Amino acid sequence: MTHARDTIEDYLARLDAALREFHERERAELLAEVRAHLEESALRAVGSDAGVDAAVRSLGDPRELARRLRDADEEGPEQPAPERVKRVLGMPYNFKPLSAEAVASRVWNPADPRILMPRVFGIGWTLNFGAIAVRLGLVRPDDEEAVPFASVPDKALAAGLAAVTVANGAVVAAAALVRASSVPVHWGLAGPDRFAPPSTAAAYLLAPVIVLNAAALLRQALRASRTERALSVAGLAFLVVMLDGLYMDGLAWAVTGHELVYPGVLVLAALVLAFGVLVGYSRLGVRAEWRRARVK
Amino acid sequence: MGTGNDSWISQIRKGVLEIAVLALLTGREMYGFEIVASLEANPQLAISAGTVYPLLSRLKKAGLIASVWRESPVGPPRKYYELTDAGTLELSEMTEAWHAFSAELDDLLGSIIR
Repeated sequence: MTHARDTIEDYLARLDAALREFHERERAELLAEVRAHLEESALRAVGSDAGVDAAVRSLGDPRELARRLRDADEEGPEQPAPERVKRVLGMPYNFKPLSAEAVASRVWNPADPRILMPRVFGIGWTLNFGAIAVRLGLVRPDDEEAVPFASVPDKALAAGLAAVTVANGAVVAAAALVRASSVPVHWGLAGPDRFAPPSTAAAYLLAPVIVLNAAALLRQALRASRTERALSVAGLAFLVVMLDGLYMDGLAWAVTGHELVYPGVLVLAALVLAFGVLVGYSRLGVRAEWRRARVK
Repeated sequence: MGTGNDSWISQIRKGVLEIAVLALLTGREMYGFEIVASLEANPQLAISAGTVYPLLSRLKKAGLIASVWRESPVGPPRKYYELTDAGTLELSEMTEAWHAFSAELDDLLGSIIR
């Protein structure tokens, strides 16, 4: 039996060394269990070393066993599946911090035919512009790479950002130049039904756009990922039309007694513009992709 | 059998290992060596001790099984495992899923001449 004893001690010593990364208590527990296993195998094959040798073979290389034990520690099924959509009252929700890629997977995902996607952040659904573009025949579901907008030319991203920044700047300039005592901030079916001083309206409508515009410029300056920059241009285009537009509408009403366009139209226009930006960037990205592939 | 097939089989084995261990523990507690020996008795499963212990550790961390050490006057101490309530529930869900899965696959495979 001394060969069996030596085999057991040798195996345990090597396993002990391989388990260095584990906490003391856990390591002792794992060693005790493997020791029990090996001793049990020795006990079953009385007078023969075959039992222990087979048990050692079955346990495998101690380093490999330690690696598996470590993996078991790390990827236990207690972690919820990342893709599972959480719901409240049947509505999907998600409040985890998000990446540009996560946002893109919802708002621009041509490969997914669903138009309404669980929201990337907050409660409810979000529009998958990618699916709409596919239905309209503007893009093909499998044209793009795994990471959307990853190949959009830098020039196009900078140009898009410059355009929305200029538009935003023009609205801010107009707000600073045109005097009005109060502007409408809410429209009912019969026209404006709520008013506020221009400074309040500016704080609610213009300030968020200015802040987000500054953030987009910062992203551009810091060379954030193309996905992030493309999304921020589209998002900003939406807000410039929607919020700046609403402010201009109010200003026009205060000065002339008529709004420029009915606010409902602004929502639609904002969506169409954001959609156009996304489609445009997607096609530019795919084209750049093709060109690169042909050159290779 | 080619290497492609070997890896396919080993993927399947890996996938069913969890349900096999949970099923084994249904209605009784067992210690590590016993679990390994029972599983090794099923040659198709081809499960080794080196796979079972990490799995037991994972199942325990997941709260599906619980363990307790028992000393023995005549042999080495044994660490006994048993299903927790969560484990029992998980097993019944897995069993249901497995039956549905295998029924559909049998349907698909039924038309193939063996």
